[in-house]
Amino acid sequence: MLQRPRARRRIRWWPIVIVLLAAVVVLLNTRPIDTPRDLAARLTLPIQRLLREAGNELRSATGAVEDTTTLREHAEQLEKTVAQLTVENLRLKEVEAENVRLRSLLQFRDVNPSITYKGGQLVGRIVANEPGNIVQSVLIDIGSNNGIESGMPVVTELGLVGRVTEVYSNAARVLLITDSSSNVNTMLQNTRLRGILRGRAGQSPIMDYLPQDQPILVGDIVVTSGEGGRFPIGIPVGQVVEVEQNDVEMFQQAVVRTTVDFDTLETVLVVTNFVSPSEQLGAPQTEPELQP
Amino acid sequence: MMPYLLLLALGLAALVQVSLLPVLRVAGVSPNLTLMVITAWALLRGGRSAVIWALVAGLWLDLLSGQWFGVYTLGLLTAAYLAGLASQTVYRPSIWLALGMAAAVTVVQAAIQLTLLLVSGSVLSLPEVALRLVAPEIVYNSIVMLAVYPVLSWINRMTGQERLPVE
Repeated sequence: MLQRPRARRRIRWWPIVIVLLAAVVVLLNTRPIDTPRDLAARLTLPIQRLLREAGNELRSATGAVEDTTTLREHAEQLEKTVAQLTVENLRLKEVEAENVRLRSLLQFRDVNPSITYKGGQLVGRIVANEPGNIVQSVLIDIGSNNGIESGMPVVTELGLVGRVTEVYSNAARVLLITDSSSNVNTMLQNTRLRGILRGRAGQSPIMDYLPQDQPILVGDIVVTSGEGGRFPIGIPVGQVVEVEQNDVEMFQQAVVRTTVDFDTLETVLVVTNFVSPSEQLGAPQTEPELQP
Repeated sequence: MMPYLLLLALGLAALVQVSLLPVLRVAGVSPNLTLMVITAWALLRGGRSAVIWALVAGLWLDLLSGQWFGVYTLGLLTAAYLAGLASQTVYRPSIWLALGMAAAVTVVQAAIQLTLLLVSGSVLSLPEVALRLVAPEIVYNSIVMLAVYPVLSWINRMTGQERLPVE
């Protein structure tokens, strides 16, 4: 007799707590709460670093236990690739030398992001991911103390990774190009056809808004177009692996396999000296740092 | 168990979830350790006890994430509530119930996140997300539950006669 009302009360207050919390969440999200997160990043970064390193070691150890046959086949394939790349490398060196010579002849003084971004970059180690699988962002171990600012492009030697979205004193959050809220202005390297690369949860990114009448081939290289001023021009993004064309649609789309393997990503480069063209118009003219 | 120990233990679980488990991804998916801990505890001890755990673990996750503050707390509180309800419907919770709840709360947690993303303007293909992210996560979380449930069951037996200080 006495227990019934108590049991009823117990059940009823749960939804109230959830509703109240939902209200608090909405109220709190009216402005970014970075200070507690900054504090949390400061306190937990050493532990996150240790855990990440342990995880990386574990992955390396398990990766080493591969089948011998697979390794042999892999080695043969790599040998062929090395031979091809050596030839390609020689050709590219020639092109690069010619490029440098022509630029100096033309007294090229405008900002060329593909060169300037090589001059100012900071190496950051990835220490954490998002707790869930749907949102694609990572935490790196460099922050405002190291000169990191929100919006800075993040790359690796293989290509584009994303951009800095939140900066703490000793850490920064990077939104990956694979996230569903990420949009990057891109173009096809050979045809210069422009489109927007959109991340998709659980799938490869897609290059959208490509005109129907333009031919797109599987294998086409996708690079940043530099439009919008968020990223330097010419950073490799990926390769077209599938073209989705539908006659009733206004645009065709291309599924892109990124050059960066986000599952095994450990370190990234934050481009600290990239100046977007729009910012540069307002800023005093400075000598660009040209580095061969 | 002292309250501050619980705070640290759940903090460590959250840190493992964001730093260590993503490295051990399978098919682009990593398990949700804290969700499984909260769900298992709610089944063993009832929702009332688990809600404290859910609140602490959720706040830890929200502090370590870049999403809207409160998303993970909301997800874990909902999981604690649902698992608490489930524990009331059975005489004694079992590993089978725990596995069933692992699947259910994984779906609920994903639904909360997806709803917020859709509201914020993200373009998502729900069937693809369900097939490529949620379904593998259910499998992965179930495996984690197989490890977590016996451990928490043992802790529950050890502390079962006395209520925890945080209850």
